[in-house]
Amino acid sequence: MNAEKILIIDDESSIRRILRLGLESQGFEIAEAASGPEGLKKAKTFKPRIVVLDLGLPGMTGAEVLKELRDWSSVPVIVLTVTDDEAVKVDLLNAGADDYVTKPFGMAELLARISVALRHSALEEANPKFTSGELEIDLTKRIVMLRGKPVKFTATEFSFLKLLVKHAGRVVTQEHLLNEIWGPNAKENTHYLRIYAAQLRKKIEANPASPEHLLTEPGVGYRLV
Amino acid sequence: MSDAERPDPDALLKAVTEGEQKAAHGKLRIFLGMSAGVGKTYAMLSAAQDRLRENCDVVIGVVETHGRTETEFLTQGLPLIPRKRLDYRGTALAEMDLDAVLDRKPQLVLVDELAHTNVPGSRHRKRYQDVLELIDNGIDVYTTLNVQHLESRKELVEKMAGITVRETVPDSILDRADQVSLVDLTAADLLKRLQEGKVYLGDKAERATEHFFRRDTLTALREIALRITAERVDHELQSATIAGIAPLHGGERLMVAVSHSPFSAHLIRATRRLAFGLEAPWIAVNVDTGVDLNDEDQAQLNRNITLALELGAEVINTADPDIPAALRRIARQRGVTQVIVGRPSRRFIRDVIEGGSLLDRLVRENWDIDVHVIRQDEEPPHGMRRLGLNFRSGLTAYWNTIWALVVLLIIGNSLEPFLGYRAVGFVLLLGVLVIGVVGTLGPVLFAATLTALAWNYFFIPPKFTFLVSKPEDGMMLIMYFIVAAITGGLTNRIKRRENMIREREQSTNLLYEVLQDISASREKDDFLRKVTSRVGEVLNGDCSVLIKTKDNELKWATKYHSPLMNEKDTAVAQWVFDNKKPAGWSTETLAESRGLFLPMVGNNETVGVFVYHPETKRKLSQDQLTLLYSVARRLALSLERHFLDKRVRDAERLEESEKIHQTLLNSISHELRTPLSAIIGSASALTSDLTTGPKKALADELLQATDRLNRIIENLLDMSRLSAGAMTLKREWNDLNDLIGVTLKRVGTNLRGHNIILGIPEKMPLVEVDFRFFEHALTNILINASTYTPVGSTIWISAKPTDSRITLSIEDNGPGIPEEHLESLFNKFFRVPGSPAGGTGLGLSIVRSIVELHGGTVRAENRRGGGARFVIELPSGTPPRYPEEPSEEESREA
Repeated sequence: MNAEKILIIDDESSIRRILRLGLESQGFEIAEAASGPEGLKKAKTFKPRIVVLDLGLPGMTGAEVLKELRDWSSVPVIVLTVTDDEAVKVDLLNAGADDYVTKPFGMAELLARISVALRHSALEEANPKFTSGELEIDLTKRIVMLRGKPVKFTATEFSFLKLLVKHAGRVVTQEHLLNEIWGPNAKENTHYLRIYAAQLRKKIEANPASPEHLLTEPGVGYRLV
Repeated sequence: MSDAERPDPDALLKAVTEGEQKAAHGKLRIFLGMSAGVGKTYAMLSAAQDRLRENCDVVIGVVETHGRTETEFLTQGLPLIPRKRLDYRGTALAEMDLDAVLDRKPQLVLVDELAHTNVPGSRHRKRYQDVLELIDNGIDVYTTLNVQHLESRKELVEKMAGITVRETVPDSILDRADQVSLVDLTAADLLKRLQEGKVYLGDKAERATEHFFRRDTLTALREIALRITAERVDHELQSATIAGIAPLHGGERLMVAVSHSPFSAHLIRATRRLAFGLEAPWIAVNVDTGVDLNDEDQAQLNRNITLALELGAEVINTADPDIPAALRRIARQRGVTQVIVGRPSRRFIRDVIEGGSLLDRLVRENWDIDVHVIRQDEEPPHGMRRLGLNFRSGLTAYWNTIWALVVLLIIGNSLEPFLGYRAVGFVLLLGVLVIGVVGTLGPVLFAATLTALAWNYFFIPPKFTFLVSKPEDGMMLIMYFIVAAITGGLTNRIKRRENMIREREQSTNLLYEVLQDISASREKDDFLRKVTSRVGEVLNGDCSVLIKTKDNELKWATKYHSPLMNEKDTAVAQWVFDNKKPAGWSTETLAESRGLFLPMVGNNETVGVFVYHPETKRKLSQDQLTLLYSVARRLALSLERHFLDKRVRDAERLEESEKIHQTLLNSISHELRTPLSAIIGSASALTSDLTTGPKKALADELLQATDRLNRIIENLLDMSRLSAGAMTLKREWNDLNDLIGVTLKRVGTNLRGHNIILGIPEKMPLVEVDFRFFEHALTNILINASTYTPVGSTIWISAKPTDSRITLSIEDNGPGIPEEHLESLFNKFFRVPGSPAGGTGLGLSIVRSIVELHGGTVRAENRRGGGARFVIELPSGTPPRYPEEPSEEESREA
């Protein structure tokens, strides 16, 4: 079997070792880089399907590596970060990162992100169908089914859901949602999102108070899983 | 023409070219008013009628008479260019027909309401653009404008009157205007017109509010309008003077000369009345001729100058022995149009010497300034004092003169046998000249008279009589008196001038040295010490400085301070500081104080008080007072700059320390979380590989411990941010359900053994909180509940909105909190004694800090049925506008 290649760029050898162990056990082929320049070189020679990039690299920072990488490659990048600052995360997503994982994180979380990123890079175009648990969404037919029953939506609710399905499994920033649904003048109106997210949860979640599908990424955006 | 009076050639050239450019364009005249209803349109139409009578081709472009008959009457004889009808959303609206006006090419067109916004589809968006096009095409325009429509004043007016101003014009339109006429009405008159229904309130924005037509608002608006006009007039006057044109009518500026006469006060008041009537600025000039004033006169002069200042005059002190020349010079420099003087008193001898009374000389000399003569109600007292005859303080001088005379007589007597009685006259004359050098004019004249009489009595035959036997002796005696009086007087005058120049030089030097002191010293204490000692030396007194501290309290500037100061003086200093007015000795306020207290007022703030304790009781001259004021001002500016520098430096230091703090935080979070990641990564890999058995349990234990460690790290980081004040909230409108959902997911495993019951109402409004910080706060409360209640307990999370607050309660049915600890529960590092191990005592104190940062409160209490309850109250704020949603639901189904 042709194993999927993952490049890990992190200056902490312990993290690299653990990631290698954890990911190799899942059947991935791993390459490591301890610095930004080395990582960029390996990205050219190793041709990974996924890059896991630590933000806090000495010398050339993760953000700089991401920027340079994006000049010539569209390989999915998952950023490892310790920051509490949501603005930094949003900036990273805008700069072309596919997703991020905040340290300390569990292996399961990272694997989930990797599999979402792989799916996306494999499909290229947004998957018009989304299935998760008892929730089924078909964008082309504009059908949403929960436990086999159709659910009705308003136009705005559906636009919201459509954007999330298009990026299923990945975080969609607030800015992106507002811009796509209400236009560039609504960038500050994050409360619109709260209202529609609450309405959507009532329709697609078994228990809206503890959502399973429509998750909030505090200060960053929403994620549909 | 002296150099000072000659206009700068470059400025002259600029004025000329500007004038030429304007001639090619039409002239713009703006009738400016403080609000609707002052009669701008009326004023504009009246002016237009005047032009019409001069056979000017005037047309009406657009005029809103609002059906007022008086106004409509004024439109008679003025041809009206029909307005253009434009369709806008089905309504026909009329706008000025710009093209029709341009085709008609009148000399003058009237365009009302400059700030008007044209109907979409017109050539220009705004009417002022139409007006600009008109004047560019050589057509004169009269237009009207309210101050609130000026771009720069819009915000001020909005804030003041609580209205929204939608239509504005750029301020540059005022610069384009050749003339701005203020249509002024007092607030009271306008309100009266309003009550009588004489004001048309068409504009909705203006009508919408009762705030607008209130006396205070109107008064403020009027002030704005007056100020705009005044600024313009000032500017115009300056350019008029540059171009050598006579000052414009209306640009009046008054000037009054202030002396030490009590009558001066009367003149000052009269000038102020005149200036007020003309709405003109006025100047009070004190000319120091170098004559020494006695204490009483000096005090009167100071009072007069203070009075002028209080009545709003600009006070100018100048030194010149020639009063009319000085007045002429200042009038010329400042563009004065009217001078106010008192009716002269009869002072024959002096007038003959000086070439006429002040009034005569003012009127005679050729200048284009009106001179007002004010009736003098009372005779100025002590007329003799003007001649310098100083009876009170100068008494010693007269005694000295008499002693000198006695000595002269003795010398004369001993010389007479050798020289003859005529030569003795020269000895006496020499004496008079010496007195002229050392004394004032009074003793000189006194000596001249006395020596003449003594010469006659003791020496001129027949001796010991006042008779003169030979006619040539009589001639000689008279000549002697005249020569003695004139040469003595002249000597005295030269000496006076010398003194005056010396004093002035002294002040200039002192000021220069003060500046040197300030610029040479880097430390404020250093220059304050130098300056106070220097000024004290020159003015024969003791100077000290009080400076305000950060808490706005007055403190001695240096360790050294005047032993003369007592508590009472400190109180005076405080008064001076608070009121920004001088007080103490030689002033009108708290005059019994021994020191003179001057406020040190900088450009933006009062920085302290300058104190001068005189060594003698002699009043300071106006020059010396001015000197003290200048020094105080100079020090104030330097101190202000010094404080500002310090503030900037402090801010920089703070920023630096914040940066270090942030770096440290970042590095700690990185250094701690990276190994934590390694642990969690390993442990989670282990748990997923293992299914059961003791190793799986160990791995789970590892995960839970790391989770707790991670939470402690987060709390420590939060605490450190909070105590550094480096926490900036990113408040957004959030869904409380969402917030609680995310929190519960985070706390997850800790609450596995607990029943969670949510009670958030369906219609719960959004709350304005920082999501992440509030999630931390909730997490801490929930962790707290899970730690202190046994497994199987129930935790209720409920919320309810009230009028202005949102109440969030988290309660449990655990053992509750001992009553005596309820208060201290939220203190940093507090832990209830005897509570189970674990916990740092940080969690709840972080909760309180976060909630308080949000402007809310948090409290703990015990439930009646047992268990603890935490109640968070937050201000609900003004909820944001919700998005509009098309009402129909998407109903497409499979």
